[in-house]
Amino acid sequence: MQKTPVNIEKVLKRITGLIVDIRYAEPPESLTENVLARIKPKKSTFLERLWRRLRTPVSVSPLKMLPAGASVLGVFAFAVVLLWRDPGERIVTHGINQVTHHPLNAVVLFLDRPDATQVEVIGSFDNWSQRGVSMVWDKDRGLWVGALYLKPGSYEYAFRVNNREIIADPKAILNQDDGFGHQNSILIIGNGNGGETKI
Amino acid sequence: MASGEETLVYEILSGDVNSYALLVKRYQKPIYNLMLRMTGSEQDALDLTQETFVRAYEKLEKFNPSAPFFPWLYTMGLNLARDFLRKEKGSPIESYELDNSFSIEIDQDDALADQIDVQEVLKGLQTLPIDYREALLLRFHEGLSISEVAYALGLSLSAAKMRIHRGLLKLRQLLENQRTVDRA
Repeated sequence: MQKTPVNIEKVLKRITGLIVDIRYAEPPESLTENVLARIKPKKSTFLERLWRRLRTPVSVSPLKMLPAGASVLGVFAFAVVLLWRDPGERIVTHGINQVTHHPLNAVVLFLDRPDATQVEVIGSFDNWSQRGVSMVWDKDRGLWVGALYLKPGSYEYAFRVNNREIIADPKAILNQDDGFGHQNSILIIGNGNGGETKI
Repeated sequence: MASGEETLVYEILSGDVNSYALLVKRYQKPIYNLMLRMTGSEQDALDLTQETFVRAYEKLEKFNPSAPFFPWLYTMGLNLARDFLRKEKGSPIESYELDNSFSIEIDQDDALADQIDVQEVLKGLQTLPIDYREALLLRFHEGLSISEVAYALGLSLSAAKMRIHRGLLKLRQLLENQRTVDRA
């Protein structure tokens, strides 16, 4: 006996509904970690990054342009200030974890972990954002190097190594318990007028 | 493309590995389950899933960021799994053709619709040829559009529609045959 389309339709609808309900097995928790352990950050030239950025479509509205316009003006104003400042105020970026005397202090952090493939500084300076500040591998020094630009104040920070291990700065003078059994390093920056500045 | 993926891909290409971790977390479950279906082994499934994500990362420069990421990833995973089966098992990929005649009584179809459950459908899917099974899962479980299914399986749009439709008919026939055997 031939089936009617209505009957077939009913069964097929039921089958598709059941396919939706199929429960998938959970992958092991280590999966993401294992993948990340096998890859290294991609390196691209400025031109490649620019080319990709230009190819990325963006939506533009007058309202969205306001912050962008303000940023451009801000960068312009900052550049003018930099050009007119006293040459003696140049930022110094050598030595171990140095701080310069400047309204925005440049703090250069170093980490001796040649085994690492990726290191970021994370901390209270940006409310412990997931992104953090990427450090770069300095072949000549054999160290990971990263710069922070901070106002005077007290900050907690730590290094995130290979995207999974979070460690305090082995060179830091001060450390503090984070309340979860780990240590954060403390960074204290003076007011930049020749006063006390220490890490 | 799922929300923000184009930006994520851009960030990954600019050196941000954390953004790739987000893509891995988002798609590890369907890829892991694809590998489980293909190999039937948890260890092989884990190895192949990891390999899929590592390969995808290595080839990301060739990926068009404005295209959907998951079908592209799925294609890579499916090819890896097929290669694995050819090398490790030493046997060709399963091929299973069903009788296309529909000669079951009308009442039986009504009963089938009311009585089948998810376990029977899962069992039926495992018996289907890979191409039909994956087309059905991509379309109905993953919720991909027909054009995305076509992309993932390397088919034309019309071929993808046909694959899904025939896959459903074959699955229904399998379920009916199974019930006939159970009753006998």
